[in-house]
Amino acid sequence: MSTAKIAVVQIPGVNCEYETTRALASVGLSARIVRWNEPASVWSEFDGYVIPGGFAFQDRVRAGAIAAKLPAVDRIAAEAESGKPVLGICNGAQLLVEAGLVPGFHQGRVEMALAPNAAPRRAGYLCRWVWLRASPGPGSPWYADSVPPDEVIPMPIAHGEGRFLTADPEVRERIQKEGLVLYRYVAPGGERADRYPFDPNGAMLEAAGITNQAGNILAFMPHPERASWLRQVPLELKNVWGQRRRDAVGRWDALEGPGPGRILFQSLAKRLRLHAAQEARP
Amino acid sequence: MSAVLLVRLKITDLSAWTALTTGRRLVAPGYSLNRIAREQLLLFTPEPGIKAESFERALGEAVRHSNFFVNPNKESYRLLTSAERGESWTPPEGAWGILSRPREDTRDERLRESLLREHPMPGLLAIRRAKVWWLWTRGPDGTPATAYFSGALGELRDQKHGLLVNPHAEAALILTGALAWSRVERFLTDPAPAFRAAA
Amino acid sequence: MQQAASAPQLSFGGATDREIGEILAREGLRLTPGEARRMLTLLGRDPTRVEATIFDTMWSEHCSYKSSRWVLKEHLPTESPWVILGPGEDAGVVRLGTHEGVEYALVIAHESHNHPSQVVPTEGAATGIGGIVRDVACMGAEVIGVMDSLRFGDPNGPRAASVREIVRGVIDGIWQYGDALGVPNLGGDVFFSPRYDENCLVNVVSLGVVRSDRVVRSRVPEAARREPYVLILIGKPTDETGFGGASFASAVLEENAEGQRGRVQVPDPFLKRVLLEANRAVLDWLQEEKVVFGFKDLGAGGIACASSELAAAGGFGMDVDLDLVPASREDLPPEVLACSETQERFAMVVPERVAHHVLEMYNTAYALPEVYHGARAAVVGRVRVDARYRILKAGQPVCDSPVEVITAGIEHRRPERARAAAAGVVAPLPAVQDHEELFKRLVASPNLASREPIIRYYDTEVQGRMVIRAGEADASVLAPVPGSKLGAAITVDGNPWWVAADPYWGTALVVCEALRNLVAVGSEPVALTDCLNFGNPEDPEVFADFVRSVRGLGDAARALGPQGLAGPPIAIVSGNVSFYNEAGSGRSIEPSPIVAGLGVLPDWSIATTSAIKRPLSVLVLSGPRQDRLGASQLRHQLLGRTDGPLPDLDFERERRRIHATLEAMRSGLALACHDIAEGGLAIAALEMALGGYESQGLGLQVPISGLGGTPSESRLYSEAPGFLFEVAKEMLAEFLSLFERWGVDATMIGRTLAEPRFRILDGGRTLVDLDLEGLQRLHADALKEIVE
Repeated sequence: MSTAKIAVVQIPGVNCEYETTRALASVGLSARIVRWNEPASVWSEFDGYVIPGGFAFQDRVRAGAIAAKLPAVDRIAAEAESGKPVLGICNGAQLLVEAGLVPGFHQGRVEMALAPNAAPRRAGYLCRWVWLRASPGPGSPWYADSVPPDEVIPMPIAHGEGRFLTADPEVRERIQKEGLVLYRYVAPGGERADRYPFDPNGAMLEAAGITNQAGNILAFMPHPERASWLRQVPLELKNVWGQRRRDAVGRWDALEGPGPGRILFQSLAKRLRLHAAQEARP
Repeated sequence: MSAVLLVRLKITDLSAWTALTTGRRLVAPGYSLNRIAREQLLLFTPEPGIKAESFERALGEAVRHSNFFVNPNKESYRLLTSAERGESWTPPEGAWGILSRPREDTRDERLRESLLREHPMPGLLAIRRAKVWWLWTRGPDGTPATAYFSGALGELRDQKHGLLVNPHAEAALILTGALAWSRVERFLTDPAPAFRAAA
Repeated sequence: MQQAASAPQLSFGGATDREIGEILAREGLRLTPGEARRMLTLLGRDPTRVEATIFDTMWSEHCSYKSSRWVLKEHLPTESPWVILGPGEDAGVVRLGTHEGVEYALVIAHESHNHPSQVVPTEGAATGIGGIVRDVACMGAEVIGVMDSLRFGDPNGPRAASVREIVRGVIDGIWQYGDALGVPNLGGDVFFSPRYDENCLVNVVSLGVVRSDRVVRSRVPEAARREPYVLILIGKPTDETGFGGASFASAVLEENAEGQRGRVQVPDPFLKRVLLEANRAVLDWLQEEKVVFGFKDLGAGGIACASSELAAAGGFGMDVDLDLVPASREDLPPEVLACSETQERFAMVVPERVAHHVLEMYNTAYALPEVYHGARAAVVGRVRVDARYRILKAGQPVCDSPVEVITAGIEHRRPERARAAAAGVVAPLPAVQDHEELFKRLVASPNLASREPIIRYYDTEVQGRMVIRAGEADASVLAPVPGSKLGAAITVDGNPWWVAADPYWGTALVVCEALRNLVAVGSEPVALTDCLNFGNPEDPEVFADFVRSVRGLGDAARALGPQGLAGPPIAIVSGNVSFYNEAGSGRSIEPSPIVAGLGVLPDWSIATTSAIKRPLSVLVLSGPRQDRLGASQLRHQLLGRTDGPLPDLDFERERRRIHATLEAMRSGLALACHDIAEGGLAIAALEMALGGYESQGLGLQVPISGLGGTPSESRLYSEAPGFLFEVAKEMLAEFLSLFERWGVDATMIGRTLAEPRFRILDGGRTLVDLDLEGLQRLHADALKEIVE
């Protein structure tokens, strides 16, 4: 069985492509950085796509707005229709929303925005570790089924426009009803994130990551690739991850081990292995 | 009696440039998109009963001497007081506009507070933000074809239609000709109209 | 000497000094009449406008170090076994270590961007970040972090409004540029003092990593004698922004800065990111193909400086054709094209046979012209083997000279006069009535409050290399080479009040603090960089401060190496001098040397934070508290004064303390370590209890009666060098015996508590007994009002 191949999409201004590639490699996937303007035929070679964080086209017009119109995004959207997984991290999430790929109730229609963060008295970019909980959603390859549903997952965010928003009440209702909020912000103890900074940006439904209906495309604002090694976890975090990090001081092997963000990539690898095994069966 | 500040880049406006190059890929043959420009609009509203003259003088000082609004290194501006701006807002020669504002409250309270802390300005009630895209367009029939272009480049509907406004976060007003300032003020001050899903 | 024939010339010949001065003023040149005469002698004729502009830039203080060079040369150690490349190129290069058979090096550069930040804070600060990143990138390194050292005026003083506007603008500039570029912010420091009211300081440090065999040099290679080489200009189209920037940085700020606002460059982090990606691909390709090349960033003086320096460094000449330079407008005069400081540009010299492929990579694969209006790579010149340097416009030379005439530089010996000692007795401190209230005031004072409200704007996580991030410990630690154990630590320090009180010892104390910060995270100090910010060097007192400060820096760097004076120094590998930090009103800043320290860890996993980690462990102090509160935060809080005698510094004792600490941290003997500096023992202990951003719900009890008979406030707030350690009980004996072996004091002075209280006891008296949650809010929120 050959290793699944993932394209990490390099659009001008993206700036997380290298660590994202390393995080994918850490779970045994074969990841390659693919430039946005490589020949159109390149995209079909891959089994999945990650659009990394950064400032594609400088967020000109709006975050994700220009990149969403790229021919490469057309190709990826077409590949995703056959169920291939797509993850947009941070600026990548903004792109997926602007391209109408998430939530995608009406195919291709833009049904959300990622608006400027709303936090009391504070505007602009915010970089900090936040707490997340996962819900199974519609059988998404990005759902970390290895994680008990009550576990609180720490991960960093770093964005100025991370507030999932829709002006269409019906869209909001369906997102909620169909469980498309795969990851939501919570308080450190797992309770509802009812205030800043646990709710860091005022997103509807405290959403940190929303999938399409099929579950294969996830728009995710936090940065799992910055939490894929235990080393990256701040020592001061209060929950079990902070304790693990503190206990591992002086043990390089332990610190090079997985961090909380790796679950997304592990789930992907597992799903792709399963998929490959099914394909291989006569 | 409000004052309007319009700020534009003196250096190349890369957002407008990219909107132009991207926009050209979105329009049908026969339609030509010739130019796009962008301005930030700030609307300053005084408290009732404040003398226009002193309010506008203080505002002029703050705009000229602080870094809050204008960065003279790369921006130029026009401060339009109620007295000198006339009844209505006329688009630049040959252009029409898409004025957009956040769907939620357009007031920038944080900016107002910071400004007042550092440039005492009696009677500043609110600062509201919006932006305007000016478009120079031409349809196959030689007219600006504003209806076509606002569909093609205005509110975002899907990957092939719309660009400049995401209707889930912003509301838009089309300026095809002179528009009364009172309309502009109302557009910025009233709650955004309810969202209508595109057909 | 060749004649630059048809170009318009400035007529100095036979002019008096006054007439020369008038011509210079009319042309907007800042050369002195004496310097203009020197230029005439060197050229042997009148200069063209382009030539005069080149000399004006190259001989600016910013570029030429004309006042400072001899002082730096005489006093600063620049070599050690760690150093691969010392000062001289755009950045210093230091050994990191070997991973899987490949040797890696760290690249570090340090610079100021003060005047532009005062005038247009956001672009000024952003350009600072952009420039320092280019300095590291052009050595072939991947840029893995930036730091910033910021000095602002009094946020509550008479100029509070403008100070706060500058604070916010500078922070915006740093985050807007750094975050978009994708380079993590590794922290820095911030200091508020009224003498920065009209002249803020924005000093920036950038760190990179590179394979040692792939360090790129900024010179035309020897191979250019065997085959034709061309000059490629890469990046933003040349425009008039930043024209005269170096001269501007070398002048006193005018009272009304309006007219200077147009002098500030316009940076663009997006284009920089795209360029760095394209450079990465091009440099890799050239290295793989074994093509020898030279590479340099464009900073002050633009194309003229970069091309002449590339040529001169290799012993070559160059022909630059301005008609080939991509420009924003067609009508830019030749001196602007040649010397403008337009941002986001690099220059490369490559063999002509590969030029086409290089252009193709930039312009087609990375599509510069498509993603940025007017950006591209273009061949704009040819290397000459005869060391003649010409700039051509419409086929005619507008500059024509032997290259060494342009790059030779200039030197000034400035007079020095030591400041008269302050007359009379130093005002004594009033007796402290309420220690708890005083403590709270200090905790919330701008210089001691938490930097969290600032740091949260910065991307501290991008690139995923972080081990210990800004604010969690005394230095930031990262893993530069993925998958390797090699670690790098970095800190930046400076205390203007100490240096103003005594330039020599104050600067030495700053060096000690930088080294303490490095060893506190278990890294071995391997190099220093400096940015020396002073007033007008033509003022003999300012210049005397400068010389004494540099001596203090050099002496400390030599004395504090692992074997002290018997062994190699902690070398100073890069730096920058910024003079004329003075407002038009004549008010000069405090002498402000800023020192960055770079440390290396063979295994980054041992690094830990300064936060206390367990209940009932022991707090240990090393570093006797001195009854000297001159220039301290306490003195400023109580009296509004920053004078008085500094703590004593004994280099040999400090060397042993620093290296004992390194050994203790490397051996895992302490759970936490924090250096004592501004705010003394009391603030250091509180910072350990609070942790970086989130407290662990533990507390601290600190009895200070064992620290001698000086007043409580001296023991609590003395800024004498020292460390606090959290040591687990079972490690205590080993910890103390290690310090004994080094002959360094170590005293148990408290313990951690299972509950979130913070107590300071003195004999029978409870000086402070407060809930940590309340202290956390006080500490964390104090700057919010200023920066948000």
